[in-house]
Amino acid sequence: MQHNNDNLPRNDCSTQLDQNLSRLLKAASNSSRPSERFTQSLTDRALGELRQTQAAGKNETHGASRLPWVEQSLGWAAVVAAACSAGLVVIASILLKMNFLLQAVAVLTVLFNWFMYFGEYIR
Amino acid sequence: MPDKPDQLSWAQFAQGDPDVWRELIEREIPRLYGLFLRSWPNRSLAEELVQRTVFDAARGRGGYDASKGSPEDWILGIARNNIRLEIRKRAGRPSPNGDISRCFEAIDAKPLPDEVLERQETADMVRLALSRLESKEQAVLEAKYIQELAAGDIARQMGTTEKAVHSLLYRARLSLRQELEKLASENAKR
Repeated sequence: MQHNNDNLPRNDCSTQLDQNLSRLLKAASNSSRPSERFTQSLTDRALGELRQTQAAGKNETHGASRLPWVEQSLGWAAVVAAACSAGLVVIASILLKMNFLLQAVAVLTVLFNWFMYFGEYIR
Repeated sequence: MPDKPDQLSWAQFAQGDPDVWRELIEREIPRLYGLFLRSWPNRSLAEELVQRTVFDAARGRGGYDASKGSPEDWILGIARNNIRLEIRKRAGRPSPNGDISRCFEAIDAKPLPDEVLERQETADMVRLALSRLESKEQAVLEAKYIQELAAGDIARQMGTTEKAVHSLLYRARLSLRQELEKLASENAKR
């Protein structure tokens, strides 16, 4: 474990030297117990991870209970928005006397954009 | 040493109760460290494996089954599995040939191989190199790398300023490196 604090420049070489010296000095040490600092730091990090996963689990549960309602509303909104847009495009293309292929492309483009937009939103 | 957790604590263990986990981790770290050290005389590797085991246990706590044994036995199982994985990893790795001096030449560029760190020769060389340093340099290196103290703590311990600790540490590292290179090349000539 490295704990900041030295005056070597922070580049790869100094970090590598630092790590190797640390490993060498530990190899030469006679102690068969981990340092207090190591124990403390590892305990804190492991407990931090436990708390984090617990909090994430709670959020997920909360999110999961809300998701069907949100999805349903968005789904309906997407259908209504897409249908209205498609209708508008059809009316506009008739008024502008566009050919059938162009109408189809315009409608499909609008539908595709709406679905992409809502798809991103839901994700 | 505190008693082993009862059945209620075991359920809390599986749920990730911080109090139960703190007690268990603090008790298990020295035991795991000793176990890994018996497999390889390499303290850095032992720390790495203890860390891996503790995090594996924390992440996989949902898979703990109280009917199959205590959390201690379960964690020991994870530790043994990590030993097996390490053995497998080493089997697929070429053993470093040649003398230690070659490894020391690249000490600031490449991580030293575990096999080099585990040689008695390396430990003896480091001890000899340390003994050739000034007592202040020895003390600062031990505080930084063995006790893993922060510069502020070392300064308090040595009755000096943080700045002085940084500069002493810088000099101590350089001296140790020079002594190691000298000893390694002497060994290679023999």
